[in-house]
Amino acid sequence: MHYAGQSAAVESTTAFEEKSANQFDILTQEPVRNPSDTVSALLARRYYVGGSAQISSVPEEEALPNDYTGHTQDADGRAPVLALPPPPRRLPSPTFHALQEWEGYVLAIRNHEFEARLIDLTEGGMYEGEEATIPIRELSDHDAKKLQKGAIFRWVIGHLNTVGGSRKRVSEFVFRDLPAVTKSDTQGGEEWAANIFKSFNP
Amino acid sequence: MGGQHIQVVQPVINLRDPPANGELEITLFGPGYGESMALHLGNGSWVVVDSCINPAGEPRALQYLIELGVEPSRDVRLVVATHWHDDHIRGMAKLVTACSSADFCCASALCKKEFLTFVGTFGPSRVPGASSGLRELYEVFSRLEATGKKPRFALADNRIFLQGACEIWSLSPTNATYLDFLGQLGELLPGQGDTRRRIPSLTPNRVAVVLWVNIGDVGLLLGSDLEKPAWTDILNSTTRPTGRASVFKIPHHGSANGDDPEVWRSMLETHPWGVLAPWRRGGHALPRQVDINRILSSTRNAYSTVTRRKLVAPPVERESIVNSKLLEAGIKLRSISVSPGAIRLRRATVKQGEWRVELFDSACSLKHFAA
Repeated sequence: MHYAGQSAAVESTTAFEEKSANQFDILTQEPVRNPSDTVSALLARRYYVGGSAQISSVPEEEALPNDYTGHTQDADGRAPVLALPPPPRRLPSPTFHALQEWEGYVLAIRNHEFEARLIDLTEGGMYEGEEATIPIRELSDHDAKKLQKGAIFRWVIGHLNTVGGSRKRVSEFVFRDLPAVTKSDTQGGEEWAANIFKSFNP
Repeated sequence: MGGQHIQVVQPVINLRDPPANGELEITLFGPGYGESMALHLGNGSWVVVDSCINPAGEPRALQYLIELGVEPSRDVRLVVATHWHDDHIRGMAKLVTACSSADFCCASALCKKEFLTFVGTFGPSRVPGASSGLRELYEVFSRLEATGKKPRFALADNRIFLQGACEIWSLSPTNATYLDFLGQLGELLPGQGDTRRRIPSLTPNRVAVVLWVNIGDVGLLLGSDLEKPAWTDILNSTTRPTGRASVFKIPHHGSANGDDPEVWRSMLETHPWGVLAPWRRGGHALPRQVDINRILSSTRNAYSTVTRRKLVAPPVERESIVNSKLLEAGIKLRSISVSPGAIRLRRATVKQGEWRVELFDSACSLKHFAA
């Protein structure tokens, strides 16, 4: 799950995809195609790109020379040769190693904690195998606002290796705002229902 | 009468021993995830009511039948889904697929266009936790449609199965309840602008299918999860089969809201054989001690598929860094992946012999549930 030299966001996403092979993004409920769509990528962005004070922004490419034109010619002045810019210089970046991922839904909310049922994605689970009592303080302010009975979330525990070489344990919950029903869901549901109804009532 | 005979608990028994050809059987599995029953009607004919899964995710009743040497595709005649809550329907699609010659029966309300649209919209969710029991129903109905089969519809006082001396009747839901249910579907649907969340269940459960099984003179009352207001409809019915049952699948995990004292008085023999599967969710568990006391005041022959202690499964083993983080954050995890126990009742024939009870895994007398 650990890929040296990749950006944290891409690495985390790859790790997610490895574990979730042939699965679907919980929140979009679509096959994982674009790494930036996954919850893990969101986590990574939150940690590493989303304005965190711990990590400064990393330049993607070195500046090009002022006289660079993009084209040149060989010594005989014949075929034009495309002069590519130098490859981007990779700077060290923090890496996230996910050890455990769950998908969960909220059963009940009390004053300072909530109860949830969990599906162990790390083990490839399809059904809920655990329940958890989770202090609400574990949620970001942003996610705490989305806490409601039935709300679905992703929970990842792992360790963050910083550029400075230190390792930090991380537990992160992500609740995302997605429409409960899309037009496509409704259309698909109506078509399916019409077929089934016709089949059951010929 | 069940209470007038000596109870026989066999000391050495094997769950894999098949019943004799003429022997009747009712076996209750649970909780694993949910509850399920297998009924042997005699002559190798089986009925499965509801579905629950073992920790490996396989339908427990199906596993049991295969272990007995039963051929599910040939010998199971009827599969009933009493309602769509996920603790009664997990693994139902696998079960229906394996029992390919069996009829499938569910509440007629579940096959109305309104509910089918609901299933079609939310059932295909690729997020198992988000779809409740709708995903299983979606797969079951899709399978029936693909094979050209129609379900049998359960409504109050409707005979859904007849084979020789065996009749199975659905005693619920009534027409009125069923119309209410369709009207209440709107409560389950997310509103405009809502975010995606798990589909909740309607409470109280008034649309569960209660079954009455007659095999000759032997009666069984299988209470599903039906809750109190709807039991009154059954009691007041003048068109349901008469008689008293010697075996009672105690409704709704033994809860007070599933228990109408009049049912014990007018539909059951004295001290019937009562069986239940406990339930646990979000820190709540059934039956409570007050429920146990109430049930034991109605029958001394009551059994549970597991003890209270066995409702808590051993914790999942994880890397120490994960455990440390959980501890640091004050997060408590509990495994709910309980290995289902089983209560098996058998009697030699319809006319002769009495029920004998066999307990497997951590099944126990209800008297010892809290021990």
